Amino acid sequence: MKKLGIILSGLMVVFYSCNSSEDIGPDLTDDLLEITTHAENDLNISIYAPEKLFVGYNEITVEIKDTDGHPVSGEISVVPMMDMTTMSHSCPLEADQNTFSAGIYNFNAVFVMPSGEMGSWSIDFTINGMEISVPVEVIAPERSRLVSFISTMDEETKYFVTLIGPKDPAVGKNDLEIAVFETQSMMLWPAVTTLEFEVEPWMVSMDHGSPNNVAPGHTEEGHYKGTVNFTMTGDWQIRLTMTENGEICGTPYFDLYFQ
Amino acid sequence: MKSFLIFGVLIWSIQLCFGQTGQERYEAWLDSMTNDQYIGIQMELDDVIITDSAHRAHLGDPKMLMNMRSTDQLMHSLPGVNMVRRGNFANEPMLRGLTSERYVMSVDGMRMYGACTDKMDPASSYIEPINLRNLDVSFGSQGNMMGAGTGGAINFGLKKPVFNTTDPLRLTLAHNFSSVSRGFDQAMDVNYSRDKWAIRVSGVHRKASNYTDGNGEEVRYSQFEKMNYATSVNYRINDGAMLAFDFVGDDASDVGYPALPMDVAFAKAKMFGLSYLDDKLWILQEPEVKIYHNFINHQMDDTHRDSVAMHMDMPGNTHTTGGFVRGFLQQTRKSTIEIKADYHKTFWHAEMTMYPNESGQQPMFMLTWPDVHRSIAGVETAYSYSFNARHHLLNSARVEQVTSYISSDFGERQLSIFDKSGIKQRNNTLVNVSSRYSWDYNRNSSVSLSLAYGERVPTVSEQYGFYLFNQQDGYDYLGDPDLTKEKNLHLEVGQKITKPKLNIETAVFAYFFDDYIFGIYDPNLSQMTIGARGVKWYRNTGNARMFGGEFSMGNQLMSSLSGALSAKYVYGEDFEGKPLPQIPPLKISYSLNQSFQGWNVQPAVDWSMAQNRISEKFNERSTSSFFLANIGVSKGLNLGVGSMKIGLSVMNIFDVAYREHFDIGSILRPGRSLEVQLSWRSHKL
Repeated sequence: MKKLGIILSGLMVVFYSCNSSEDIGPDLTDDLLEITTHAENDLNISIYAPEKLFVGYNEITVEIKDTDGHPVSGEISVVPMMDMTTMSHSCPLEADQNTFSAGIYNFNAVFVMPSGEMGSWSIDFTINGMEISVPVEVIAPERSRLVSFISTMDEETKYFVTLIGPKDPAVGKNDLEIAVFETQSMMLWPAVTTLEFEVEPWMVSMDHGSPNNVAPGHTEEGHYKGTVNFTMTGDWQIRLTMTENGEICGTPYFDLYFQ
Repeated sequence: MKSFLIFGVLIWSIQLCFGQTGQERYEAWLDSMTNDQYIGIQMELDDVIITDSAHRAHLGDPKMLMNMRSTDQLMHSLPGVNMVRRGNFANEPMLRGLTSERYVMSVDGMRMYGACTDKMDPASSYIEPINLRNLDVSFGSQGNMMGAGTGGAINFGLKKPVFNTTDPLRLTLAHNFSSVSRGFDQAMDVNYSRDKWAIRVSGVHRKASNYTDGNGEEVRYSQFEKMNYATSVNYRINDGAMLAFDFVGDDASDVGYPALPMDVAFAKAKMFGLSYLDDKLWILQEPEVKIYHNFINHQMDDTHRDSVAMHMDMPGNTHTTGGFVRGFLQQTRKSTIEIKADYHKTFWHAEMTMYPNESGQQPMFMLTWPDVHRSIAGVETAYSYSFNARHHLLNSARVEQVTSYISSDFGERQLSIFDKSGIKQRNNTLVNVSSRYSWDYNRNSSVSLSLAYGERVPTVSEQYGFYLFNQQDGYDYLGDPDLTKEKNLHLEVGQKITKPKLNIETAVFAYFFDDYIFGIYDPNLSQMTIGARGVKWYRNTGNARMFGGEFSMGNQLMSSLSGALSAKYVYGEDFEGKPLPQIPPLKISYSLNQSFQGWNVQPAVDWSMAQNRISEKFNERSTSSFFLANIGVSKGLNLGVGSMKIGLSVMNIFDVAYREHFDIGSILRPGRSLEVQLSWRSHKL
């Protein structure tokens, strides 16, 4: 009798744990930071990212559940919006999928300014026909990961160049990834795929570069990948020369620091 | 490892089959060192035996005989040796125009590596003459049982305690004054012995201010201070067997290097050695089994300089542990076979932290020696054979396995920049063979012919150095982990005449290098050091050639007057047929020695030719010729208790402003200096 009780309780534990894992889904906080949660229209929406949302390229994971905690599936669209009272605008966005399943949806957004007195950011979802706006806080990182400028070539095109990698810069060889977008209207921020780059990591305080770098080349959808080498720790600058059809359209740079 | 051992044994067997022999060990006692007829700190050097592979008694060079204040000055006087100066301290020995990359340096058979990436501390800088028993120098690819090299080997033999039951306690005190640097030295040496054991304790303290050059200018940052302390204990286990323990500690502090952009806050070395010596052990006669450990901590310092572009901390250290077994397999009148098996491993670490001048910028860090481990295992045999009283053959062979790797991730990441990371270890097998035939063609004269082939592994700087600034040519240097070994084919002809009143020794040599390791400018790389001209890679550059020779002649002019003449010359060409850098020009020295009634007077002159064959790649400038004159007087006398020696000398009498061609930077050597030496020892002359 005692044995049976043990078996039964064991089974219950197994059953309960299976049930609960189905309900809760994977624990996203293992790798990600919970940015915010929002409840509206019988949906609980949680937004996760590797770090606080910042001005630059953010990889965002959205968890969508019903009020019972069960994952939801269906159709989705997403638009980040900056509301500046007199006007509002979006930002570069990589959200190709219009469906999601098991309560998880991933997209990337390049916030172009921080939240603050100028205005506030929200991520506007349409989930299975329901419009839900989730306010989010976007901070300016200590070292800028987004550079915007008007093309020096045509003095018209406004580019947004964002540094995606190296995420954890270190001495030695580092994968460099940047993405470039332009702004065509408040809502239209397409990727720029026709650029060419030169790259030079620069140690400003000693006025020297580093050897064997590989200029980033276009891979897909405005992403450019290359290699940067750092010969020492300290404050480095990744200096880029951006050209289109052989003409220089800008010389953005990013400051990095690592120990 | 196993295959390597088999290979080693194979080579050795081949040696035996061909009836070859090991290297001859010349033990030309430098009588001059013990006799009163020479000036200098004789008591410091009273037992030094100088031996070299060219079979020369070093009577030729006058500087040898005076002002032997330091190991640097002692070595400076040897034929074929020059001392490269970066300051008034820790000069780098140069063997026939080859610097420390190319030769092997050891202390009592213990391998030791300087801990400075800028070569501020060759192992010789941690040795004091008072602790020297003998000094072995060999050139080129001729081995001296110390290791594989293409430029020779230097071994500093440490002085051992003396067993002397009739006079168990011996004490020596010495003082030295040098006016040019207001330098004071004190040295002390105590030997105490009993039946079973003997102990020797020594201590040296040196302190010098900035010296003054021949233009009367004070050379700033040329000061130094150091302490050296040593203890040796010998214990007799029985009539044949003995245990010998040696310890040497050396602490230098506040050492200026006027030729370099930095000084040294401290350089500290500790050496420990334990030997077992016996008459016979297994198949070995007169065996020595030794284990040892040494480490060096070195800290560069730029905080005392007036203007530095950027303050930097540059500590470095090396740790070496090793051991060897050596002994004779055979010792007869006709032939001897000596063998040695040795192993050591060394760890190198050097780093650099750079502090930006502007606030808000963070310090920068890099590993200049990225935690390099290198282990070297070698077997060596030396075989000498006399066909008859006049014909002798002397041979040696050495096989060495060198394994190098980096243990730090940081270092691996640095290598990843050049796609050189990820290789767990790099191996080299080195082979050195030499053969020397000598013929005593009459009672007083002999000629010899040597043929040797040597290989060396790249140094840690050449293999793994990371942006090492070289003040000499103004470039940052990068090591190349994939460098291959450098080879040298060495030919030498020697001649020797020894008569009661005349001795003449001549050596003429030719070195043919292959894969000569040399810095090559890479215009694609940007310099790291502020103000550097660019970046050079250490590369295997193909062929380089060197030719040269030494000549010395000593003769007894009258019963109490002797003269000594010496000359040395080296010619070098790089892979493009252009001059090699840092090649010493022809130098001729002459000295006279007059002795009477315990007095000694020794005038000496030195003449160095100009060097106009300069290496443009190395950014060299010509060096003008110079003429130096020195004079010394000494007197030894017995006191009521013990004996005393007084020496007085004037170096660079005419206050000539000069520098040697191979010196680093444009710093001039010391001007006129009055040297006073006083010593007392507890026993009679």
